[in-house]
Amino acid sequence: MIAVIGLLLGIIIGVLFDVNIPRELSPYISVAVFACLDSVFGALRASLSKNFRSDIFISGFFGNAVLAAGLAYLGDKLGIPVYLAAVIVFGGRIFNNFAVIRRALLEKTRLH
Amino acid sequence: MKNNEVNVFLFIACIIIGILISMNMSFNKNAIRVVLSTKQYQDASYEKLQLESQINSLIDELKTMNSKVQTYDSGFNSTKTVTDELNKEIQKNKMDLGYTAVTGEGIRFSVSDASEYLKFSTAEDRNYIVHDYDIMNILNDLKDAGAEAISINGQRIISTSSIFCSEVLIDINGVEFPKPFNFEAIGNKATLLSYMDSDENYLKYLRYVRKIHWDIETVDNLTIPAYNGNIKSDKISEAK
Repeated sequence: MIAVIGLLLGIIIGVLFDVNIPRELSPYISVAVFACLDSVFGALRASLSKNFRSDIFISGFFGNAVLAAGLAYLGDKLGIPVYLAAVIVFGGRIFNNFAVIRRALLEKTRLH
Repeated sequence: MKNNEVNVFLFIACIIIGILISMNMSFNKNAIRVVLSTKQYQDASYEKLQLESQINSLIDELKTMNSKVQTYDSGFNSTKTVTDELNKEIQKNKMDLGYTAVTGEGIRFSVSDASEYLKFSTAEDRNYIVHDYDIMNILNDLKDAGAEAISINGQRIISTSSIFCSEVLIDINGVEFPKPFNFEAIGNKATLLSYMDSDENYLKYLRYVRKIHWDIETVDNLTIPAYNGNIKSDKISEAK
């Protein structure tokens, strides 16, 4: 719930300030957003299984984003679509995490 | 307590993601997305390039115009500056019209009949002789290639130049010439050479189908004489 509120708030802030990043950078930012989303799902899952650690979350959140964007940039320069690797890995992990979160939440509701 | 910490981090993280997403999305309603094929994309980017170069040349023109206006404004009190500026402009116009000899880099080639194929009786002979329309087609190609000044056998080609067939001679600007026909053109020599030498151009047709000789050489310092005739302007006047 808190995640959705934060997301909406962030979008509203972004729209209000109307900062547009250069068109050339937009693919890299997309990959970075994907990496961040993966971290958030990971954090949700960890909080549900009660082993959330803030240092891991923060380092993963920024580290993954920077690494994904950097790899995508490097791939662009080398002519290999490396961003596909980021999309596949993060996409797969998001779905995995979501599956775990779903199960955990369903377990919780069944107990009550 | 632990749960609270998670919530705070998630909240902040989600705000960041939201900002990133909204930065990356364009909420511009005018942006229509079209999926292009490779060919269309190439055409579009080519068109974009052309437009950009047009814009650049227009900006250059604007700059020169502005500086001209500035000289007129600042030299309003001294007649000499204005006359100098006007003289410079007259000189430029004369050069563009072909009334002054011009010099620059360019190409030179000579076109002549395929004498060894001539049999002096057959109808085929037509093919091996340079005609007036051949000269016109070559001229057209030169102009298309971006030649800025052209002369044939020393006759400057201007907007009113004429080319006629006159028995064995060809009449250029009212002067009759026998073969060979020496073309000289000022322009970017590399562009002119590659354009005139390309397979789809008229010169290649002359060489392969009509067996007519020519050989293009690039010249760094070509001088093309001025047009020495008069342009008749009895009946024309400026339209209002």
